[in-house]
Amino acid sequence: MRLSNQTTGRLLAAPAAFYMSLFFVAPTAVLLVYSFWRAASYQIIPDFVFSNYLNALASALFWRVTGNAITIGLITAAATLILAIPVAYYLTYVRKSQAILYLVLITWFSSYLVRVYAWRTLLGTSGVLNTVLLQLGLVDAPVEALLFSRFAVAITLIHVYLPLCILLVASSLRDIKPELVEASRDLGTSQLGAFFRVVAPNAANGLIGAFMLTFILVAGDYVTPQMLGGPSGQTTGLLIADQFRKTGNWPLGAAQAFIMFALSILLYGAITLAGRWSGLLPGARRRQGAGA
Amino acid sequence: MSHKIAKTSYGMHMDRRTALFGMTGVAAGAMLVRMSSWAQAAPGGELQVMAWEGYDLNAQLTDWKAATGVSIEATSITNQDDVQAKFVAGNPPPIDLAEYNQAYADLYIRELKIATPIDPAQVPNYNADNLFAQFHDQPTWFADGKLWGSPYIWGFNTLLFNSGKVSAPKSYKDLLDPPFKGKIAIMDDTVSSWPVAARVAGLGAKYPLLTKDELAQTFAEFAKYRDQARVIALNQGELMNLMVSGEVVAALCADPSIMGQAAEQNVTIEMALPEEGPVLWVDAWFIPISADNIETAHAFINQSLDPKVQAEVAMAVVQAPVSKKAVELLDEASRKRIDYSAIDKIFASGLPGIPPRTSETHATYDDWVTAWQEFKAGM
Repeated sequence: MRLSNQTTGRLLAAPAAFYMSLFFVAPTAVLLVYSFWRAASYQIIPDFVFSNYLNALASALFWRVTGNAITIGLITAAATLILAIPVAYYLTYVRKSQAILYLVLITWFSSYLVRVYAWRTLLGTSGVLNTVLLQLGLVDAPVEALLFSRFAVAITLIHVYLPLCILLVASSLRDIKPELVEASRDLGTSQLGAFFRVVAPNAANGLIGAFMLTFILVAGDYVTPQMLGGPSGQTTGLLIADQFRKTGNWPLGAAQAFIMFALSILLYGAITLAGRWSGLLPGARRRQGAGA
Repeated sequence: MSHKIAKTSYGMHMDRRTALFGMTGVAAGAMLVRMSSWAQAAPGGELQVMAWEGYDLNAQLTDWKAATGVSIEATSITNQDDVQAKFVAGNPPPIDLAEYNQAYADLYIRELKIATPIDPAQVPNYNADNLFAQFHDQPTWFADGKLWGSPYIWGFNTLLFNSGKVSAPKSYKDLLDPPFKGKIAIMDDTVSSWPVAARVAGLGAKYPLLTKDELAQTFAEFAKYRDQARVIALNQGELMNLMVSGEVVAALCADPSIMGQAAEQNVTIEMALPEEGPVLWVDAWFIPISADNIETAHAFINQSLDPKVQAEVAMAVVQAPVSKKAVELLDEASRKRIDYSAIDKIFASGLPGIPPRTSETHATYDDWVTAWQEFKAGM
């Protein structure tokens, strides 16, 4: 019996689809239902109210920590993407670059927490960085702002998520034939121009995907901000965790999670629109082409 | 062949052989029931315990574990809220024992009903002869004729400082002095930090029953300490690392159990008793509703009250035993640290509680959690 391509595709996707339905879609649906229930002193009461969303949106604390999370997410995702693109470009278009790929992958062999603690050691007042600065005579006293700051959070999260971002960007560059870049160079475009006129537009969806995935992972992370961020380390993830852990207010925590989810979607939409407006994304390019 | 007939008290008649068989059967049955009871009561298997870091008795019960074959699977808690969060969910995990601060007794036992009664008959070390009167059958743990929690260890959370770098503070307010700027840590532990926040705001006597205005006043004052702090430490281990590395030189109010660990790394941390007073606490064991190794949980509680074990754990975590028999087993420094002959005075003013879950007149527990989150976020 010969199966059609569509049937084969469905069969191959079925285990993953079943897994995701069971362990992501269903729990998310339950969480959505919870967000409309009420909580009274650790008791969760089935209901249909919008008060959790209204309370979260009216909370200065929620916006403060969400602002923190989004700021850390944007800074880290932007810096990570900027650092990832040249490496991914090298991996894609330069022969014998496998050693670099292995170096990228090897960083995943160390635990997330070990890396966080390593950065804490590096950035501490008696850490390596301060010691070097002192010995070079660049500072008179240890720089305390290196640790327990937004800087410390960003640099650590860039370190954690850079390998992932490199692989995502590299996979989006692989579909762009080197001949296209060579052709643009032959037509007199500079190397940077070739990137912006040929590579970036063709890889735009992949670049935006890499940016957004890094942003979502970073903005939702509450371990590193909490351990290295000081007062700026309070993020929405921590606030949500506290609703489940400390106050037993699961409905409010669920509502806060969905607001954060909606904000991520909005941000994705805004970046996509900005990409089209600037001409980097294919949609805008096609429209420009159609109008020409 | 004749058989003598025995007359039973029930007026039935049977021969002697039958009677002997019957008696043997009854005796064997009784023995089997007894053996079955022993088998049921014998501790064994895996015991899942939730306790503060260093308080799970894994180190102190080595011999007992070897003798019984019990393995202790310990989960560390960093905040008392970690405990109730496990059991208010629909499908609580099969944790057999959990440690809790006395302030949470009402919440766990009477409101959330996540504790099950402990059978004192299975905890022979729980007796008036072994325990100080402050812990035996006191209303906090013993209510409605049932034992809900077995007091296990008590002590103070207080101001800790690196004596190699700073001199002993006499008051929490001393930490606002310039030498401590950017060099102190505040623990992310509400049980200790909230009473201290109220005290430094001059509202300690009213804690935990503060109005919302008083709550705002409390955190407005406490914000000065946050602005002075290098970090809000997540747990005891992190605080110890920060003090050993020199990142901070004092902790506003923390568990002295880190002193021993720091000493192993050649850093001397000492405890100070500020004029506003340390935060007194008593921790107890309770058997949660989802426990599935209840016999072993009882045996563990019993072992935890053994005077030798009590002395060992008290010395290890620099706290105090609930067993009066354990006092003489403490080393000299531990015995002198607390005046056990005046224990009634130590507990005379009672133990701190937690803010009410619901109230028309006072700030609730949720109000305090929100204030604490705002405090940590720098608001």
